[in-house]
Amino acid sequence: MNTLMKERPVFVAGIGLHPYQFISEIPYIALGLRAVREALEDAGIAWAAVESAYVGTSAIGMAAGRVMFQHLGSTGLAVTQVESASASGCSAFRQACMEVASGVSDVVLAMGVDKFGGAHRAADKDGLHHLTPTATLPPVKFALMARDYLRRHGLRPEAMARVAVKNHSNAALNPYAQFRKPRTLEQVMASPKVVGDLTVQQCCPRGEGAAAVIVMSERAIKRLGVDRRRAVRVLASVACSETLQHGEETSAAAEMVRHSTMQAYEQAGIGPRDLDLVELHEAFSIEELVYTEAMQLCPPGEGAAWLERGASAIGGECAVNASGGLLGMGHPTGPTGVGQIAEITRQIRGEAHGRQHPGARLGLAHMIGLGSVAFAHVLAASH
Amino acid sequence: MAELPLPDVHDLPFLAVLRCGRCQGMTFPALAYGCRHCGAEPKDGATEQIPARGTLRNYVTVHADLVRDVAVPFVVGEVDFGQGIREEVLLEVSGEAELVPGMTVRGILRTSAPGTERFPLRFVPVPEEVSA
Repeated sequence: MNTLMKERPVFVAGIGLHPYQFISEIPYIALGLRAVREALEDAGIAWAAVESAYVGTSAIGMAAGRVMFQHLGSTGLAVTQVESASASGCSAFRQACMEVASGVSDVVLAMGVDKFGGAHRAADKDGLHHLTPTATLPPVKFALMARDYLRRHGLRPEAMARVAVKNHSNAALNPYAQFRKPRTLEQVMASPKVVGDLTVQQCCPRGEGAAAVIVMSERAIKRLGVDRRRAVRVLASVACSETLQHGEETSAAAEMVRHSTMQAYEQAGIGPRDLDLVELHEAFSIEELVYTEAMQLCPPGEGAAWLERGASAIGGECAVNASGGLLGMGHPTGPTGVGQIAEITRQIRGEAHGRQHPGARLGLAHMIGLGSVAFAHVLAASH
Repeated sequence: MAELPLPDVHDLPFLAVLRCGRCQGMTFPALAYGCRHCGAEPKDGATEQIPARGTLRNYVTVHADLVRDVAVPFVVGEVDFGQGIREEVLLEVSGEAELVPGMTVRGILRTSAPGTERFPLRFVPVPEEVSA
């Protein structure tokens, strides 16, 4: 993949979203098409130019792509549906990048669309007996992670609640976000408890939405007359899954994040200090503290202090979840990973009006999905 | 401290685990489709029983209605049973105040409480034993 992307550079040339929102009666097709049409318009290309499409969705059902795309015109493009739970969108993006990098296609759509309610966890169908009905529930898994982290570092629950405060503040500046109100630390802490020290406002909301990006080769950018200055280059694409952990100190999820991120840094030829932006999976507030450490954005054990001194704020050392993240922007599942790519692209272009991180040129999009699986992508300014 | 007799407590139950025939590693549950360490097929291994007794590593209270089998609030914990087996369990306590990380907990079989049809194994602290 590294060699392929060096030989045949891959770019994000168009981005589009349907705002993330609470569950509505709007059909998924309307959500998805708004995002795709916005991405096409942003790239300045016609639907007919798209040779292949990958659709990330976890809850819509079989053949979501073709049912939706026929309303754009039946051009005969290749359509593939992918599912990786929370990471469905970034697995669609990775497939699109590989298809362009390998030379199979020059113009590929990666999109995610979802509506809450139709998803079923495979882990609940494994035919095995668990000791508790909570064994496959993410809120419990991450509440246990939180308790362990807070205890180990001598921190109070407010330390992780500040993640929600920061990300809700960022989301309030994002017109595509599900939540558009800043929250105080007192509000976050006073919201109803879910599990352990996690309150409602430290857990991502249920919702729906869509996100789309147009992935292109250099040849297509020239041929279609796309504005090269607004195209953002993909420097790395990494995927992996959880390994068996025996240690006391590192959770399997944190180790998976560390491993996938280090691979992405190596592939991109960068280090953590080079990053201006990170969009990461904080479906639960604790994740942002644990993963910023795993990504080596700050030293081990200093995730909370790094956040508290503003290092991960917009305008700080490295803006983490400038979009509002999963807590503030929302987590409709299929679209989330593609939405991260759209946010980083927008920031690198300098078009994130009202929440622009100054001088943004290099960003990491990182998602995990049930199972667990991880995807990491590094994007860079191409001018 | 003597333990009060409970009406529906059975003898100390066991966990059935799979002992791998290739790497000798342990996998829970015994009906798993392969060794979690090396992937060997179960037919090459053997089922063994280990006591449902271990070290409580961590715990949290579930406040929201996330599952249908147990009424909230209830407490779940992570227990190390040895030989690399760490499982999430239901703790039968009135609250987290009864718990300390590192304490020993043991399994009891419940048959009469709600939710015990599907999840009969509950864990309780073993009094005055702190192993870590």
